[in-house]
Amino acid sequence: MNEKDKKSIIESILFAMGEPVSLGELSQALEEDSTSVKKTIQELMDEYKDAGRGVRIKQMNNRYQMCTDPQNYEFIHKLLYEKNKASLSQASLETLAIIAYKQPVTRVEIEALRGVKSSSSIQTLLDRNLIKEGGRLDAPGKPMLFETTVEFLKYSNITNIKELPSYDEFVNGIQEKIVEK
Amino acid sequence: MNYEIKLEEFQGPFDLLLHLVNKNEIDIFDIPIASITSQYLEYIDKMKEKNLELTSEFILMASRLIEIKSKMLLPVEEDDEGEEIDPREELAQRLYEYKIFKEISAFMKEKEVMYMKTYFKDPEYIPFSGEVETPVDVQELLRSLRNVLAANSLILEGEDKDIHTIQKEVVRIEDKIRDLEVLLSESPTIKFSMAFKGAKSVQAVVVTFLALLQLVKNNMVKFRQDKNFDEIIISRM
Repeated sequence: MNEKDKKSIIESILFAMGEPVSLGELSQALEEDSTSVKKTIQELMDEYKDAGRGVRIKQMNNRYQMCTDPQNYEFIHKLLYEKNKASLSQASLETLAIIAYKQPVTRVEIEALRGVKSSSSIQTLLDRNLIKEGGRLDAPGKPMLFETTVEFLKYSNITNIKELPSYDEFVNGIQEKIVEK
Repeated sequence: MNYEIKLEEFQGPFDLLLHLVNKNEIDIFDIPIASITSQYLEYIDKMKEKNLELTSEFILMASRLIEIKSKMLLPVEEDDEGEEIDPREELAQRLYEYKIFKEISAFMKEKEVMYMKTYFKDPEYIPFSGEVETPVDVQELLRSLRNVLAANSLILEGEDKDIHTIQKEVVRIEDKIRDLEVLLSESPTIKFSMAFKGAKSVQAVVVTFLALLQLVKNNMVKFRQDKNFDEIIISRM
């Protein structure tokens, strides 16, 4: 199987599957080792980008998924009119920010940081599949712990949770603003 | 000072406090508690005026602010190492942390813009045929069950008895009507009990009764009773 065939197969699989496909699944289907599949898919991703194609391949951890180029949003929107794609409320954004940087984290910790009840925000994020329940804290009452999902990586346009700017970067950002004043 | 506050904007007491801190251009770690407390309470009053739901968190913060304000009036306390304790310290720390997360949530918001503009395709829909083949026969399953029970020294209830296959008895009203018609064609009148002769199950009796009612309704037969408690006679029309 040459590179061209491999690219073609990967492209077809990603299109048909729709959902994020892991590197393991791809290498299983191609009967090739994952290192070479990873290299091929990276080339395919670059080709899409370089040629300015309307379809892109997005990487989240070791999973790949096809998506549209965000720049074409307006044009897609003309034909595909959605009702339910609402942006997150300020409350949900704050809750998501805390979970992203403090995960795994309990509801009580979130509420202590925000100073307000947050169960409805947590529910919204769970419904949107941006966070999930990740076990329970070994403390009285065994409170539920929350953590971010693969969907969250998609949301924040990163391939890995480590790509998020560090907490200290935000701290420094605030310090600089204070110094400017 | 006269100013208008957009009431709904605040996510909670921290959000409101942060707003006041920014507005007054003060350092989080050196909040003029007296002034901020009065501004905070002014806001609470406005909320009441506009009949907005005042959550307990806002009230709790008001009481904390007043507590800190009163502590500020007392002689300065010192900790074990002789350092002066600032009564505002803990609140300032929490406010600072909240400020950072508010900053992060603004960053998330930026990311969201891109996310909202990207489309993903649903997986191919391949309907499940619903048929599952189980290549095991019933006798084989029964034998397996017995083995499991034997291995666990359990006994299947009534195991020693013969296992009967119960046939579902199907008696249709239409068939029974035909039977009754045959019966009545042989003799113009029959006794009520005659109609039920040979009925072996409750179901058969019920069906026969329903068949008789149907025949009466269709004016095929009529019922007669010569005297009280006498047997009903069914006669052909």
